[in-house]
Amino acid sequence: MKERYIKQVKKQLMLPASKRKAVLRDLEEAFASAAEHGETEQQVISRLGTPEQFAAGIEEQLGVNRQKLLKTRTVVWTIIWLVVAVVGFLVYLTIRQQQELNGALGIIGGADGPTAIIVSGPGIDVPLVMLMIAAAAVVLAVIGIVRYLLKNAKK
Amino acid sequence: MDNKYSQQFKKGSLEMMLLCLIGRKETYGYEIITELNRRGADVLGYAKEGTVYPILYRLEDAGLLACRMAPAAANGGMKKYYSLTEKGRETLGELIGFWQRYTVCVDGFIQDYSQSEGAK
Repeated sequence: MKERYIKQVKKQLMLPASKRKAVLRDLEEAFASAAEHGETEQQVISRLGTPEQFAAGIEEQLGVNRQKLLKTRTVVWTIIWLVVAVVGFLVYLTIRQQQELNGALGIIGGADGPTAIIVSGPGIDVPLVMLMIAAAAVVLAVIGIVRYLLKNAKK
Repeated sequence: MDNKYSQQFKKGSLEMMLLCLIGRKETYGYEIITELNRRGADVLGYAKEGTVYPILYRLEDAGLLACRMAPAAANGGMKKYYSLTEKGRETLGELIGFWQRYTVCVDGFIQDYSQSEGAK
């Protein structure tokens, strides 16, 4: 019960790492001291409120703007996914182009390039994997953008 | 009495009370909360870890409090003991001085008002 509570607070708390560590340690102490004085974990938890309430209260008192932090996080991740998507597609296109070039050379009767051998081998299909990663990144980026817009709309 | 006006008073004075409490003797989180609730729960509202701890962090960051970890005999864990720093003692002195002038001033207004009510 106590462990679960602390774990959830840990997940919720948006504070600089050192502060976060201090808060979690003190929470641990709060439970230990309460137990020492005959309080049950349930009593302590009912005083602290839900993990969300507790975390939000601490953040508010310490002047952390949770909404702003969440928004920044969404923006950063969206940008990362967009970059991954672009790079993925570029790599995919480059490999495909190379393959076609090699294929054309093969038809004409030129030597089989080493690239062609590797790519047509039984291993993983590199361009397909790249395309899938890029597509997944696009989906994640779109989710990020939608979340950002929803958050802005709420205000 | 739990409206937003009384909330404002409490917010400002809780820090001073904490400094007084810790200035009297070195103490730790649970003891501070128990003491606050024993002495003033009916006036101040029920003190909770979620409100008291962040104030302690802030006062510590401001250099008014120092803390020291010591093993807790009863439960095998560690306890964080708070004490006033030199700067904390100075600040508390200033705060108490201000508080006294403040209450005299506010009381003056209250007295005038009460007299005018009595004269009606």
